[in-house]
Amino acid sequence: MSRIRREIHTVPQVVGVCVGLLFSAIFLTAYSSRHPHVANIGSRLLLEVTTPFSKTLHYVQDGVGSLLDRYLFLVDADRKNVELEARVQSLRLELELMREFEFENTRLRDVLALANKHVGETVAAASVIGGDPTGWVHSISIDKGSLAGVEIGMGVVNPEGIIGQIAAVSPHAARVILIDDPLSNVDVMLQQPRVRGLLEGAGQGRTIVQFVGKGQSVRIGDTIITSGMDSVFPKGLLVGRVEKVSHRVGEMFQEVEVAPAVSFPRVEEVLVVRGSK
Amino acid sequence: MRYLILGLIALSFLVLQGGLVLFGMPVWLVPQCVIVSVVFLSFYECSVFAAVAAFALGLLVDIASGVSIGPWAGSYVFVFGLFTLLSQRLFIESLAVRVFVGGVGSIVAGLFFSLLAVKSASLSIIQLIVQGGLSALFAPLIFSLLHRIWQGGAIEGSRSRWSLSSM
Repeated sequence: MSRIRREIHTVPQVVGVCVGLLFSAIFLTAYSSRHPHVANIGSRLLLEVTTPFSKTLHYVQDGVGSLLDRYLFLVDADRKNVELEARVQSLRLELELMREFEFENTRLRDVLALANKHVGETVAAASVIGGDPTGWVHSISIDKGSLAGVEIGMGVVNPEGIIGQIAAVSPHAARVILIDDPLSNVDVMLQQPRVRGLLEGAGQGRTIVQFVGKGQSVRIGDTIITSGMDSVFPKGLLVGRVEKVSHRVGEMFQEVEVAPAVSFPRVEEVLVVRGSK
Repeated sequence: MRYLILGLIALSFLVLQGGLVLFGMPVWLVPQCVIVSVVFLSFYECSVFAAVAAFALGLLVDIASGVSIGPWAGSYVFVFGLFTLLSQRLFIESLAVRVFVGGVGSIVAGLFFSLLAVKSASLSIIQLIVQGGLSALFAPLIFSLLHRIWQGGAIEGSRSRWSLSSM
């Protein structure tokens, strides 16, 4: 066995360049975390380039995926039954499509009802076309961008509740940071005692409300809604329900763990909204 | 030309990885194919251009995430430098070694990313290891694909110095 290795420079030279690049990366990280708009410059271009592929992948998953699932296991079917089976499958497929249309119709009706409820605050309705490619940032891509009026910092919701905030925008697409990402912050309040707090993402579908005073009565199952004070989401949108309340000795605030109302992997249609200034 | 193809392949990996997440697959079950490409590069090319390419691939991943620029670039360069140092001591043609370096590369990159971008890191050690394991499984396939491209370049190239490591 042999392998061809191209050696243009010596190992110490290459490692030296790597160290230099490493310092550049650390500088870039520090700079871009202080100036988030820098990250958006390249992101805008990349979103435009990858959106057609993401859309194609989305359609393939939606359409061809279900067809493959159905026909894959019919390889061993009896010859005599092939025609009839195909006919039955075709009818079933039509039925499934009809059902899918019905579900879609219901979903879109809910989205429309939500849009009608927030007429002045709704910017655009969009479909989800991709997830985060690295898996380290909890985000999704949607098929509406700056041409539809979408801007960085706008809120994204669906009839179940709030989903996240726009982090990057290109003319035809946008990236949404989900509320369970550690980079996300939303101004929220408890519906019943009307106590405000800051919802922070904790990863893995978990969110935590910070800065709720120890004297406030918070119970498991209490509803959390948006406060409307952050100018991102309109007031009163469902965020989730209290799952766990922790009191730590020596701390002024209690930690309220919230189960988000939205199941993020199942999100298909969303509304981009703006909060009142 | 090779680097352009590598960039396009990395872009395809990113779209596919994003598609898998959308398909409902948990993020930690998505193999990190781009980092495996960087590991390949560290074994098959010892040059400043390759180091810059690893940095550029990291930047591409950073840009795709759309949050901050730099953490992945730093992680990729670190992994590239690390495996460049180890490249003469490992028999990369062995399937087991390819699996091993693919997995270790993914885990090391993840850990280094956690150091650089503490606020963004949302994978636990166990999930990181599972992701590394999956990257390891895909590593032989990615190595074979990129090896074909690099071999083509080796035949075409005339100025560069080529070393044939016989095992």
